[in-house]
Amino acid sequence: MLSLITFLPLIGALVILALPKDNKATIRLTAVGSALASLAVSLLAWARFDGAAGGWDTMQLVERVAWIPAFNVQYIVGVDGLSLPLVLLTTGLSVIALIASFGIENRLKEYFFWFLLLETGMLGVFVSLDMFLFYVFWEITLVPMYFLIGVWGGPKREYAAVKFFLYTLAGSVLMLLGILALYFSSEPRTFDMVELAKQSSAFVGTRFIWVFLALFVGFAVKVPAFPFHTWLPLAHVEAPTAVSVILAGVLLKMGTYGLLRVSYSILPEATRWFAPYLLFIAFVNIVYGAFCAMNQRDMKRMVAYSSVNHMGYCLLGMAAITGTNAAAGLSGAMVQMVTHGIITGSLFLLVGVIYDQAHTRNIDEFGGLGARLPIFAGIMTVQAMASLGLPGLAGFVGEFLCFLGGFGQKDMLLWVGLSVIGIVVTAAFFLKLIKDVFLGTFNSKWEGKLSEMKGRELLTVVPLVVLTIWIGVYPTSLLNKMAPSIEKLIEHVVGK
Amino acid sequence: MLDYAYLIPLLPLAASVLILFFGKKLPLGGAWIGILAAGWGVVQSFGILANVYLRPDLLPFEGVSGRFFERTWDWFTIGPVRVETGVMIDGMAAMMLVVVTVVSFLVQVYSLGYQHGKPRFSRYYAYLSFFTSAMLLLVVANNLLQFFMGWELMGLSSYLLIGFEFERPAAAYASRKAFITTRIGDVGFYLGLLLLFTSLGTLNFGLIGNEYKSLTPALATVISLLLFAGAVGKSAQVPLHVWLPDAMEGPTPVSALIHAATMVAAGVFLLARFHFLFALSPFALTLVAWTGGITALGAALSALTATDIKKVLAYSTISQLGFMVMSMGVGDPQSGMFHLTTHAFFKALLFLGAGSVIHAVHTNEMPLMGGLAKKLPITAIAMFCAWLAIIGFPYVGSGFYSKEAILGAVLAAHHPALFAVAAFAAFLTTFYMTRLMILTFWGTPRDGERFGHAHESGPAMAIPLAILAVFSIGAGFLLHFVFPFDKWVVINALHHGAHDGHGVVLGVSLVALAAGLSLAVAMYVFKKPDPVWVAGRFPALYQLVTVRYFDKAYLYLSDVLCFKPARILAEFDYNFLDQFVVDGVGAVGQWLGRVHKWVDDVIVDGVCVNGWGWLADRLGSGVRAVQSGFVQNYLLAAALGVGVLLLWIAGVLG
Repeated sequence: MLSLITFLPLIGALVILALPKDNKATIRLTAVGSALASLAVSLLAWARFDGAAGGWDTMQLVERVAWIPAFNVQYIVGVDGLSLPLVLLTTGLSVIALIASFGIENRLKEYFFWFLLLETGMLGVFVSLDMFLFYVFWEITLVPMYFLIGVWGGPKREYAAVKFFLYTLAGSVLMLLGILALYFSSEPRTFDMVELAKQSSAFVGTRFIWVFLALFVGFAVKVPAFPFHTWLPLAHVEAPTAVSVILAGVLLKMGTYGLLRVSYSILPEATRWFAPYLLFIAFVNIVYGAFCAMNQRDMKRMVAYSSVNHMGYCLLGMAAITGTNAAAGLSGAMVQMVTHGIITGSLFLLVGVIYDQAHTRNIDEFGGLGARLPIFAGIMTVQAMASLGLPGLAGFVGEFLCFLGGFGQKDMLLWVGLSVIGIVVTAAFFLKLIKDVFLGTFNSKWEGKLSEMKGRELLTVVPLVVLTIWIGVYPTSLLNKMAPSIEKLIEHVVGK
Repeated sequence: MLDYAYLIPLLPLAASVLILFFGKKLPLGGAWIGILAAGWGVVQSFGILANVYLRPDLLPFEGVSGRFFERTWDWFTIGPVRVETGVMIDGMAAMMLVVVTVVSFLVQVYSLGYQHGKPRFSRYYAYLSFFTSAMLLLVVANNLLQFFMGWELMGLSSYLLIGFEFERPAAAYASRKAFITTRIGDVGFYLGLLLLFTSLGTLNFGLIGNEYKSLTPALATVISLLLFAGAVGKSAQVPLHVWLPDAMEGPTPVSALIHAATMVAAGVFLLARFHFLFALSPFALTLVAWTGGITALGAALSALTATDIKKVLAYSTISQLGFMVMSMGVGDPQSGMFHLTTHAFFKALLFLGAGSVIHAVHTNEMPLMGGLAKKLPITAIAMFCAWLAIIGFPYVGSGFYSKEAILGAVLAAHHPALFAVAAFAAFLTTFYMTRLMILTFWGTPRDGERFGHAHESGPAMAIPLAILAVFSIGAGFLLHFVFPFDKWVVINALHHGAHDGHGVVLGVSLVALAAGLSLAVAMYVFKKPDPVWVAGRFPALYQLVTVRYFDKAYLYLSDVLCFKPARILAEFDYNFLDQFVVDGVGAVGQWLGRVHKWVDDVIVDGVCVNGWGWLADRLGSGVRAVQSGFVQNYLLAAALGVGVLLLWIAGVLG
């Protein structure tokens, strides 16, 4: 089932390769069709997954095949409550991003090919239970992303693509070192993550702190954690809308997910040692990201920096692992991963809506659009409110739980307390965005040039808005599937 | 009644959604849906109030704020932590329910006239209903998280309604200022909530009330002060009061409902709910008391010279909220809640009356009014009732009873200095309110044209005025003599029933009233002394009450604390971290690459070209089929790298 979810997009990609490139409609339909099929199967998996029985050592829907017996490399896929929500996030957002890509006309066949390959890579990362397989999928995501930014991006696309590529490559080289070190430390030698986690009591001492740090850098680049984040604003600004959606919505979560799945599960001792430092990094992400966003005029850059801020909440929740509110913190981190994907994804789509018509994203060039585009303004306001953490909308749930988790770290209360500065600044810049774009007097240069959101645009955004409200009002629907897995992980790491 | 109390917030929410999506297609823009939902709320709230008063057996639990009824639903569960949603009705909540639903209902009826023919009529009603729902969600909350949720959603609706006429830059600016200023306080609230949750493991009011004694005094102080920060923002206390005068950019009925009667009182309600916690901390109490006192005095001073009728009322609201907060600080929350109730009615009336005046003369500026009593008799009579209430006309105005209670509490708590401040603020209140009435309704018209066109508004606006006038006069008497307030709004007061020194209080407030009244009449009716002459004679004093120092500070601080650091950090991020460090590393890498290439060309190529070169070529051409560029080299490098690393690490680890 999981293999089907993972490889359906790849099958779609291969079919597209075989299609004539002038047959644009068929290519688009094939792309969306294969992504939809993957989404459908993942929904089935969601239904079949027993949340109560989830856990790092009780993986479900497992498939296992020997791959390179010489090195004990296996093809193992499976999910617990940590990975399944992210699988669903990936399949869902991919469908939306593909629909949002219908406007692409240039080299469309290649575009959809790379896009579907990217989806397979991302899904592979979330379902892999073998470190080697995990690494392969991890690297697979890099190449399509490079081309999607480098070919279909904005004016500085090549610079952005190269930067993205080298940055993450540097990270993943260190990660590879870490993975291999784990492999050679295991007895018997294995890449099997569950097996490695079971052996975790042997992975103690300074050497494994280095292993942890190597893995951390690899993941931190993706998150992105300060100071490894500078590729993100650039990549977002240059990437086409749909790619930004995936980049912010899914790709960043590979970093936080990797930390939980690999670092936390396999290196509990180093994790405990690192938690206070991680909390400090979270603080920097939250406050620094918010302030940087405050100063941006380009909407995409602003939303990109807000991602730095929001992933900071995620890290804060994860840093709560050794505190008294670990369950709240980790649940918060998981919820934040999903809701950030939904909310920020929709914000990028919305920015895309206006950019497609106005060919600028500079907030200074707009003004007073609220009266002309009430639906667009309304949806954007709701999603901005969700992003700044208004209770009742999805963003608040994760943020609240992350902070609650942080409060369990009694020695670090100062930094948790100071992190709330980020909440105020986030409100300040989102309201500034709303004010400068939608409120005030109408900027007459757009007279007759901007039109209200249309069918396809609404089709992509409205589901995300519905989810934003749904999760905000009834987070239990999400939490139920995750809670037991989270508790097991905490038990494993903290040893209670 | 009680079992279905959850309907009170839910119906306006449903109304809001219905109006938002279908309002334009419905008669009256769907306004009647909102009015019906609020009307139902009024009926049910009075029912609940009657139950609370007559049937204590229906309130099965006993807590820090008297007997209460509770219904709970699970919201979500995290490990051992249960987060719930629910309804809790005690005397305080029942009183608030009546206040909120009645004012909301009347404001919505009034808006039928006031907003008639204005753009976005349906959306206006959707927002009003949404606000009502958020506030009621807060009022019936049985836990602090739900309370906070209502609190923040009120903030959103306040933001949307202040900026309702967002085409005007001033409205757009004011809405953002309001949201951010209150959010600064909210962050304190948020931290207090988290600290409380972490310390006690629950946010349920009843459970907190049972367990709060286990908190250390230091912790109780910290939590109290953090919660107080929230109240300071929402209830516009110094120094976070700056947003409320600007919030007058919203339509006048909105000012009446949100920025006078209900939302801004939520901070006071919070203080009353958590009074038991504040009572553990003398320091917190003192700070609360003085914050209230300074706010009451400072805002009253600002009201003296304002010429915009709504601004006078806004400063008056801040000042009156200061009185309520003061009562919380001196340990008599009942008197504060009493004043909250009477104030809600007479201040809503003042705003709606002002709205009626503005509707008639199309200006907020009192210098352009005068003599309007002739043209607007109903409005003038209603405003006169509200005036009696706010200045606390003995035994008639409802404000008399509640203000007396607060002054008595201040005196009983042995705060003589604060008592002097409060009494002086009461004197100023009488003065500026009398000034407002004279400038608006008395004398000869100063703008003949506006006066000529002015006429009384229709029944939609007049009837709510009349009803509120009855409340403004009757509420104090009723709640003092007939249904004594502190018999059923039970809060574990520090100075419960200790209203000794009534004679002193009565004497002082009568003197303050007489002085304020006669001074205002002397200055604005007989021009002796002429206000203009006074302003010129005492320029320093005039400047002190006219210049809005806090607004200047707000602008300065938002630059120094927000915009400037944002600029510096963003420039650091781009210029230093990204362009210098990261790209620098990239450049060094490139240079190393060139060195490496030289080594490659000269040594490696010279030595062992053939084998590896051939291999690289084969692999490379395979990848090239997909794309050309450096990615293929990367894949090759990665493949080789994995091999080398495997060997190397195998060697190291053994």
